Amino acid sequence: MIYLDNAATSHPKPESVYKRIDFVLRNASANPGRSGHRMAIEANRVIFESRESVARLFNIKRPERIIFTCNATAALNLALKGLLQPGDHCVTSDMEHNSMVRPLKFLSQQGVNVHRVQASREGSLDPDEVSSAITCETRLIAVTHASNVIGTITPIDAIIRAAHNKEVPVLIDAAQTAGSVPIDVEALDVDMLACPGHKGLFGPQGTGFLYVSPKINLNPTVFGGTGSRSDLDRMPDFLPDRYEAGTLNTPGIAGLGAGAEFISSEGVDAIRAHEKHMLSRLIDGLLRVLGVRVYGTGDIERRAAVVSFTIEGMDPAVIGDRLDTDFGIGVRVGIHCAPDAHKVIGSYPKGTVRMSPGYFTTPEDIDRAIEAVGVIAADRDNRRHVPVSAPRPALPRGWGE
Amino acid sequence: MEEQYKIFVFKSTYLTFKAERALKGAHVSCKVVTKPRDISSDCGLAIRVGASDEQTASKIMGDSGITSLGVW
Ligand SMILES: Cc1ncc(COP(=O)(O)O)c(C=O)c1O
Repeated sequence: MIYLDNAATSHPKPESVYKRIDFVLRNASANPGRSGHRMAIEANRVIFESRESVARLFNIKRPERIIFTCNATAALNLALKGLLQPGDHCVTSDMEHNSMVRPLKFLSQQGVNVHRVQASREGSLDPDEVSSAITCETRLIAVTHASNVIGTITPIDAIIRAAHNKEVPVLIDAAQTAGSVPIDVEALDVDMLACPGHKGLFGPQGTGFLYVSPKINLNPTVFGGTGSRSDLDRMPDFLPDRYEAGTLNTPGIAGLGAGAEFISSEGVDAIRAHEKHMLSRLIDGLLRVLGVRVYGTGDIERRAAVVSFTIEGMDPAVIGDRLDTDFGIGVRVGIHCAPDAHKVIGSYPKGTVRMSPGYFTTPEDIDRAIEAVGVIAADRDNRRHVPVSAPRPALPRGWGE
Repeated sequence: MEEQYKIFVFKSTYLTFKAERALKGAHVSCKVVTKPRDISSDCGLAIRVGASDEQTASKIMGDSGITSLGVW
C-alpha cells in the first residue's frame, strides 16, 4: 500500500521504534511509579529517558514540565480546561481542529469568551490581527502551528512576540508540525505546546504530550493516583506528577522516546527537506491534472506536509474510495475534523481529498499517486463513473463488470 | 550492613532518575531503590550510594541543580 495519510497517524515507524516497544513490553512493562521492584524501576526509567529525549528534540530545558498524554487532544484539553476560567477571554483562529474547537466551545458555555480571528483564504493568520484581538481579559492565545487541512504554517514566532508584548501566553497545537518542522521551545519562548506522539514523532497511537512553561500554572483536569505523596488527598504540587494521574502508557511512551531519538539523529531539517521535496512534487503533479484544484498556499516554505485537493464535479469520498480500492493508495477524505477551515477555503461541506506524505514516502509513491488521480479525473471526463443509484447503461458485449 | 549506605530522597521520581543520571555520568556508583518505610510512608523511590560517596554525590547533584529532600 502507498500510505499518504501521515497527517492522521504516521506509518511506517522507524525500525528502532518497533524494537523499543517490543523490548519494553517484554521486559519493562511493570507499573512505573507504583511499585519498587526492579521491573517497576526499569519502567520508571523508560519514562524518564523518553521525557529527556522529547525535551532534547524541542530544546526544552525543563523536561519535567512535559506531561505525557494519550494524544494531542488530551494535551489540548488539559491546557485549555486547566487554564481558562469563566470570564476569561481566549483568542483562537478559524483554522483549528475540533480538538481545539470543541473544548473551547464547551468552555464558552461555561462563561469563557472565545474570539476567533479569521484566516486568509490560504489559511494564514495575520499576527497583527491576533494582537489587536487581545483585550485586558485575554488569558490565552490558542492556535494551530499548521492547518491539518491545507498545511498552512502559522507564523507562531510573530504571534508569540505580539502576545508576549501584551503579557498573554500562547498555546501552540503542533499536531501537524512536531517532528517535521523545527520547534525550539526556548528560542520561541513557547508557553504551552501540545503534540501527538503518533504523527510526526513516530510514536505509536495512544501517545502525546503537553509542555507547560514554568510561567504557567494549570489546574489538573484528571485526578488520581500518581505513586507520589500518596498520603495526600489532592494532587501533588510538582510536575510531572501533578498532571499525570493514572498508569502511564509505558510501551507507547518508550516508542515515542525512540521516535524522538530517531528524529534527533536524522535531524528535523533533513526530515523537513525531504517532506518539502515530496510536497512540491505532489503539488506540481496534481496541478497538471485537468479538473484538479489544490487548496492552500503555493509557497512550500509555508506549508506542512499536507495537500488538500478536489476534482471538479467529483465527491471526495468517491475519489478516496477509488484511490484505495483500485490503486492501493491510502488518503483521508472529508472535512478532517476541521469544518471551519473548509468554510475558509470554500470546500465545505463535502471537504477535500487530503494526501499527507511523510519521511518514508518516496518520489515513486508520489508519482503513482499523481498518476492515479489522473486516471480517476480522466474517467470522470469519460463519464465512466456513474453513481450507483443511477440506471446503468448496458455494457457493450465483452465488457465484464 | 545498612549503615554502609546513604539514601538520598527526592520530591519526585523524575528528580530521582535525574540524580541517577548525574551520578552515573560522574562515575559514582549508585542504585535506584524503594524508599525505606521508615523514611517515608510513601511508595516512592530513592537513590542509594556508598556511605563514603555521600559528599561527592551531594556535590554532583548540587552542581546539576538537583535538590534532595534529605539523606538517611
Ligand atoms: C491540527 C490538529 N490538532 C489536533 C489533532 C488531534 O490529534 P490526536 O488525534 O492525537 O488527538 C490533530 C490530528 O488529527 C490535528 O491535525
